Amino acid sequence: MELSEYKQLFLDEAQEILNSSNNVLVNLEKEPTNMGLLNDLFRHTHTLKSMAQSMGYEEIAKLTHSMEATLSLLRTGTLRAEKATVDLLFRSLDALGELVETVKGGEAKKVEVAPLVERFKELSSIVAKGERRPSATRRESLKRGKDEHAPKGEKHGEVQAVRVPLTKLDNLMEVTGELSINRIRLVQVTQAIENSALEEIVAQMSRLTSQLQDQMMQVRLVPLEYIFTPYARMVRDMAVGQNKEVDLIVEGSDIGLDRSIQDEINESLLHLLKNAVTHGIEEPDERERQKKSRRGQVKLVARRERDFVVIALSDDGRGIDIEEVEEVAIKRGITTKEELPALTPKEVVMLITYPGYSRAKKVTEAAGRGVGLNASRIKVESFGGTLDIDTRLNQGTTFFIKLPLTMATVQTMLVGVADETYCIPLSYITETIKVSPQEIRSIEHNEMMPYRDTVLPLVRLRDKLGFAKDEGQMTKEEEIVHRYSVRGKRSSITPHISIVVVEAGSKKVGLAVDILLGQQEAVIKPLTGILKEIKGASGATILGTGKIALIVDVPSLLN
Amino acid sequence: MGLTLSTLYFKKGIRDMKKIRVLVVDDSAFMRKMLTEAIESDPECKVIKTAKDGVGALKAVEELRPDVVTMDIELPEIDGLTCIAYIMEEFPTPVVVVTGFSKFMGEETIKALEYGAVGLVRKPKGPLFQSMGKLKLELLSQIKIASQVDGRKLTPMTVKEVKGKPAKPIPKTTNKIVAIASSSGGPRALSQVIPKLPADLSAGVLVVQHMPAEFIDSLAERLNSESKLYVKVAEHLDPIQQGKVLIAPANFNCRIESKGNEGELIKLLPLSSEKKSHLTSANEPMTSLAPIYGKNASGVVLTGMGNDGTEGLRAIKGYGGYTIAEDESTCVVYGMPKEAIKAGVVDKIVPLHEIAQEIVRRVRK
Repeated sequence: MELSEYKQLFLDEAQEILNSSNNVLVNLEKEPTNMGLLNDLFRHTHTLKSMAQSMGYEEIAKLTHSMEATLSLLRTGTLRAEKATVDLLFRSLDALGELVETVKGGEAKKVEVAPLVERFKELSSIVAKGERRPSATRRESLKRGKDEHAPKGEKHGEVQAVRVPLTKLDNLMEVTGELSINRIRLVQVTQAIENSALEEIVAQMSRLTSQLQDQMMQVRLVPLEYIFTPYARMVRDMAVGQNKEVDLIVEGSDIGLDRSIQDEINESLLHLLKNAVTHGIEEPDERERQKKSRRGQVKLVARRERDFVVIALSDDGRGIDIEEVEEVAIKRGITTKEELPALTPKEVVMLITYPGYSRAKKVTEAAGRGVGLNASRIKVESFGGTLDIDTRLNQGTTFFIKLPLTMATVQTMLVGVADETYCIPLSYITETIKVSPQEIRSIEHNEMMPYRDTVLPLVRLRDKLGFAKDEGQMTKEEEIVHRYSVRGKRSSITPHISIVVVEAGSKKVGLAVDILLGQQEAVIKPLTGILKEIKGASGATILGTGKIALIVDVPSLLN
Repeated sequence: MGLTLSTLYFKKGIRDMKKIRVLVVDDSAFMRKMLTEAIESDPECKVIKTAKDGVGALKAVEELRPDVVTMDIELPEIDGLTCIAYIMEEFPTPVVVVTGFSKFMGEETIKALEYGAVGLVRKPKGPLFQSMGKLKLELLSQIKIASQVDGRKLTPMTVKEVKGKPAKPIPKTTNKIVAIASSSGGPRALSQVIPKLPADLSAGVLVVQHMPAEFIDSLAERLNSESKLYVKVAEHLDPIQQGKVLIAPANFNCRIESKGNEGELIKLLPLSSEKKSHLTSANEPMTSLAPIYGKNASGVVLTGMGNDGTEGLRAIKGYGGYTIAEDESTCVVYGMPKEAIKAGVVDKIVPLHEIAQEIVRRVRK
């Protein structure tokens, strides 16, 4: 019997088991009730435990034993694979990795198994407590002379929560959306009929439909842990990969946010996290020179602000060097030496979110492709959110992502362009104004219009959406004006152009449309399949008339 | 075919033929190596193949027809339990379950035994040289017992799955007792005896089952869920009552004492550490209860290796009690009943499926 032989075998297999366990756990996180995954994880843990016991590796045996206990509760459905549980399992896998490293004789950080074991015990005891409650009735039945092994009575405890598959929720949301659209049509039809009894009923129904929609949105709010959970592992792995020491602190992961927004925003957050670790946090030695602790800190804090959720992602790293930003921005042609002095420091920092900005000397695997920050900003803004940056040299950077709680419905302005109706989300709109064609100046093919005491770039939605500029044909506006004049009200109004002033990020433009048609609450349907490729549209909605209108993707128009 | 081959080999006088051919099934390469080394440390045993999952195991069983299979419970794809059920159905082969103990797997382990696994070995605790020693000791003895099992007796038994928990009778004092000794193949045999006992059986029941200490609780739980009587592991000073089946814990000397009017109770004395490797004996409680209960005592010896229970039955019979032994036809290992019968201390020999009936008949008398 060769000890070294067994040891090597143990090390190899333990590593293998930990690797697959990590993968299984990552999947389990997504499907917390998947029996196959639970069984696999249990088996892996059990095998590792048996191996460790045979070798006499007490710590590994202890920890795997605790994991086994919790996994067994998960298997029987007594416990749910909540974030805390999955997190704990992840942390345990990490600890096991370190312990295996210790066995190898390599340098590993000291792992304290006891706190993890304690946490597992707490988890089990919570469950035990939960189970003990109904036994009060059992004790009573004993008093009444019944045997303690008599069948347990039905639990009459109130059901506090039910688990519903997300697809069902989505379907429900869809139907609710359809209902709202019909409500709008019903209101329009009712107004035409002018029947007070009908109007009363419709008014009441409208209110109820709104309430239903509100409630639906509440239901759709999923705790941010939905996307936050894997970050810890990711940050850890990235840090390890770059020989950095980074702690991720997550706060407010219990705050709810529309699930589809979370799905969409996840990639952006991942990108920002990667930036924080790769560009923000310095190497441990450098941090020491800066008189900072060797371990860097990345903080992800979410908080609710009325109908918005603000996610602040900060690092205590090197911060953004404004001079460097200016240099890069000029080099990449994002701005010019002449323009720079006009920009506030904040605006200069925002330049890093412009297309083409990249300060990375070489493209690393984790970050630095240049498109990331820009894409993130566009993504955030496409939900009517904002991205802000606060940075201090050598103290760190904070990205503030402000997102609406839900994106299922938005208030929009309906505009007409070439006989089609489009929706512009109100959140982008600063105001609507009219300018006369004479006021528009063309500077190097770019049109500018006066706005307050300055000028704004003018963007004709007609051009952007690919409609031919038909000189012969009057715009709707002109047509209406023309019609008015035909009716004899010879007006002196020259055909003014309707402008919707929109703002996204730090850019503001005047959007020229043919006609303003009014405001409407729109239920947004995502564009799928081939429609996804449509430039300038972020979604579609059904109008009160039953017609379909595209939602104008303002941020992408501005870039 | 198998017979022809054996004869052929026998004629050729190949020494290997005498070796016990073992198939090792475990999903861990580490464990496979350890088990193989432990098994092959005995010149009488040979590992003919190792399998890392259920599919490989079943294929190997079919192709190689091993004498004994060591089986892990937690396996990928087809789990150990399913493998055992399949093996018993298609190619009855003695199986020794080798599992890391986990109280969360207790039920599955007991089920494996009910399905027909004859041995149970707990994966050892280290350091390595120590675990290897323990593993050799336990595994080899279980493999050797298993190798003597007649495969034809391993036909699967229908294990009744009880839905819901039946109401159990309220335990009350009694002047009658049934003591049962059981070893290899015992959990399966007990699952055919204890659940068949009626709720109104007017005797206390005491069972001594030889098995690793960690699995006794699971055995009791499993039997309790299947039985009309209340089954539990005996605790120190538990009273002997009707409506209750006490299972002697492992690693204890177990005696029955009378407290006069207060009835009889069980006393548990820890086995001294050098005796720990020996399992709880059935002789001790049987000989201690015989003079107390006299003709109201019944002793039963079920399947198992060795001769435990013979002395106990002798005492019970000597004080006027009734003694029963399992018939050879149903014994997975015909050791203990054979010894008792040979010693002339058995009143009645019945096959397994009639044992419960025989107990009831005697107690009602």
